[in-house]
Amino acid sequence: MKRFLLKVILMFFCTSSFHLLPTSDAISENTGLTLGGFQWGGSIELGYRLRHIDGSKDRYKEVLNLTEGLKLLDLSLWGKDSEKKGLVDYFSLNLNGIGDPFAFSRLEVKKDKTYDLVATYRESKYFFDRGDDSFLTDNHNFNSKQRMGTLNLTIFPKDDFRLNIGYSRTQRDGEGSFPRLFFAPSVEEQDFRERLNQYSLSADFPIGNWDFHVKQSYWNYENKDNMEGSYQIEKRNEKVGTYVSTLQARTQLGERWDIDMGYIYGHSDGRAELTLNTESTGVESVFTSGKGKFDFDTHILELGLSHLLRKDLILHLDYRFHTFDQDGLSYPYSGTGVSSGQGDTNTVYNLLAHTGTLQLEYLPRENLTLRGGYRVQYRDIDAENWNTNQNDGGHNSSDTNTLTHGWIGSGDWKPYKSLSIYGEYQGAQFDNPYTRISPEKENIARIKIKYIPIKGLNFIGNVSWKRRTNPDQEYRVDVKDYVITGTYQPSFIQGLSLDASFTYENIHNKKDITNNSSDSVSFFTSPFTSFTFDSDAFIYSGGISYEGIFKGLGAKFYGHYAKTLKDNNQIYADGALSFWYKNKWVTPIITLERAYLLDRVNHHDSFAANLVTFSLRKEL
Amino acid sequence: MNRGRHLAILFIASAISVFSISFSAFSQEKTKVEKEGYLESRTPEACMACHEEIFEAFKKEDPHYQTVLDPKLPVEKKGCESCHGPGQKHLNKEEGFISFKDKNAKIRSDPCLKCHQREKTFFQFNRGVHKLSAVGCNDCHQIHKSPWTKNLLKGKETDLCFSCHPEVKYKFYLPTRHKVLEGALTCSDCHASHGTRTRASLRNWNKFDMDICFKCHPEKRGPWVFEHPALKFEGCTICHEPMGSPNRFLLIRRDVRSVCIQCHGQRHFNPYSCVNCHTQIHGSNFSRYFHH
Repeated sequence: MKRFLLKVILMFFCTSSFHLLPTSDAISENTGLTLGGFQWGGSIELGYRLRHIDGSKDRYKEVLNLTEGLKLLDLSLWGKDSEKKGLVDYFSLNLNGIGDPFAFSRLEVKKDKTYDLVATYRESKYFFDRGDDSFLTDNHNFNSKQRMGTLNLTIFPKDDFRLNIGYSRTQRDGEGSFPRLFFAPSVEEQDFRERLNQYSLSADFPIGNWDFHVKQSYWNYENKDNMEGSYQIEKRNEKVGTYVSTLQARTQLGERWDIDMGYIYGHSDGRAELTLNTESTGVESVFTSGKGKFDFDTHILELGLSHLLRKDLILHLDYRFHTFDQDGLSYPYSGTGVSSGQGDTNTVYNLLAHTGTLQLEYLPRENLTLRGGYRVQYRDIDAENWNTNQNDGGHNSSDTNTLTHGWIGSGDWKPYKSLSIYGEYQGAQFDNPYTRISPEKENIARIKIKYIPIKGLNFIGNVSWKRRTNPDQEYRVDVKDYVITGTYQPSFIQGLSLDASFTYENIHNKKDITNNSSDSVSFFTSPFTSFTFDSDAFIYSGGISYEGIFKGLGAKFYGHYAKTLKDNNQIYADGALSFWYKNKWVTPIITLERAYLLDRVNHHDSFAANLVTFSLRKEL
Repeated sequence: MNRGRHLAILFIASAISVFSISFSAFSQEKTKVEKEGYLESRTPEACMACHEEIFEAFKKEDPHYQTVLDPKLPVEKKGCESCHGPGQKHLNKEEGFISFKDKNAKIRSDPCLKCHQREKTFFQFNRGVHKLSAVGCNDCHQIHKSPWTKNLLKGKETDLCFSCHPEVKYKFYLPTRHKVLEGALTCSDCHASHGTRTRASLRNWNKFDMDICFKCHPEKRGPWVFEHPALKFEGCTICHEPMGSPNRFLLIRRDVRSVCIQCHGQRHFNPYSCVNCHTQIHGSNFSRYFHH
């Protein structure tokens, strides 16, 4: 801790003199900098963070993971050509959180009515290792980085015609550790190498009174996660190609009809190969190498209609037809790559669904909106070689028809300018629930009240209830949420804003276990006969921001405190206090943050972290 | 079950419905485009005379101001009158001029939809849950207030969503959560605010309503030779709470074992966590029991 404080003091003295460095005069926000025919603007914030963690560093990395070091916290740069005579009218570049686990960047270049090019890049680091590997825990640990990039070019050959070419790539790299062998108390290291490339071409155009959207996409997914553990060497090679064709159209016919239609066809096929080798480790594996192949087709047909029955009454109809047909083949192989015909498994899964909603929207007064309707969904599954025994998790997952239907409705009323009341209800009955925790009945209700007693002061109260029950399975879930929030921005103190909220949530989730297998009795303890998940959550959050403490001096505090009781008893709190001094050169900012997590179930998983970030912000 | 036949019947039925509606609609009075009462060439200066503050912000940065400069646009799609209607009627205090204050979502959205509903994103706006719950365009978008923001949003996207959905916001304060408040993703990465037919307004193309999860987790998508039927039929939320949870891996219960046993009962090795052996629980191409 002493070393941390020393670092903080040192860093403060180093950066406190930054604002004395020569900088060009700030450009007026109204005009920006004009250079090369472009008007320029933006801002940059560069910082350095120091960090001290007590307790579990791994849990800190899972929950917060803000790292130490130099950061580009924010860069925003834009340029505008007001004369619009060149190839580019406008461009912008945004970079956020560079050096932190969730870096994001976006570049946009466009010319009015000609083209729009947008590129984005996003990074996300994920860490999970509770350090509690044993048979009693899940033993799935991750230390991975996901990167997602997109590139979209939209061209406007005509005012009402647009063409879009898109590419995106998602990839996961890094490593994890997973269990593999029966009865071996080990986790094996695995390297992630997963890639998803998506290509698309689409066009939007009108024909007569109809507007059309046509899109063709191709996705290519590749998984080459390899495991080289102490017990087993595993090489995975899975490839899936997917084509998706989309046609959507919409029109308005006369004054009364609004119609949209869509048809989507998707086809996927893939090949997979898993090579297992335990020769080098000398451990006999209970598994064999294998190959698999699969393909699926899906058709979706959609129709939406709105009909103005009267000036204050509208009928809405939504319908969707959906089929899904999948075939798979899996077979073990010993290196020749050819199926011997023995041990082959063919799987088939066919689904057909109709989903419809009929609603009436009633607008009796300008401050009152009411809607009510009925929803129906029918799903029919036919499957072969799917798990069919009674312990497969449902009644019969290979041949099931499920009908779901129920009322829905909502009302929004603004009796006064300062008050609005909103309520909604969704109910559903499920004939023949699919899994043992699929409900027979579901009821969801919500009431929200907004109250603005004086200008700048807002209150919102929100109450929601959800109940799912399946009496046949002795299953019941009750979720209750109560939220109250308030914000205040007094008009007589410029630059001051306050907000606070309190939330209470209660979850009661109970299931009696009636389908235990007889062989579960013989091991150590009796089998479970009932599971209950009870959780109470108390969450307080609030903040205060004030720009005008003294001349350019401002401060902001924001924090939250979340306490969950009963199952998974934890407290997680995070608070940050920032000070800044705005001036015509560069704005120095110091942010002090403290976060802590108290895990009352697994005490070694608790942590407390102190973070200090010094940054300099310059408006361009 | 003959799926091809089902599909063909549906296509034909839909086509017949649309054509019959089209014919009945054409026999109605055509959409009236009010041409009278527009100040046209005198706007927007005429509006500026009384609404200078609004107009200055509008003129300075708002992309809608471009409509004033476009000579090809018809009078009812230009400048202030494009959304508010004929200015002369406002001056004469007649009916027909549109004020957005304290009106229902239809009145506040129809002027915007006049142009924007031609974009694919808005095809289902009229039947979307937001519009039917009295959320209009100007609840989230500011049309002529400075400073100009991306998509003319009134504030940060997540703040706007949480202002109506506070019961969702607090879930992101729990220790295990999707990192929305940290900026790793936004609400619109998963939800389509302008109308969809999916539950919870999820974005998808779709396998069965849960495709959006696979955008960031493609390794869980499959298809596989052996799939976890619950995932296939009910979607990810049968086991996971998508926003935030006190439980590891965003599970609906405190650990994996208690999630599995709810449906499958206690099969064997009762104190052990199921995924120690059933490691590929989302699906596998090689093992019916998801072992590898």
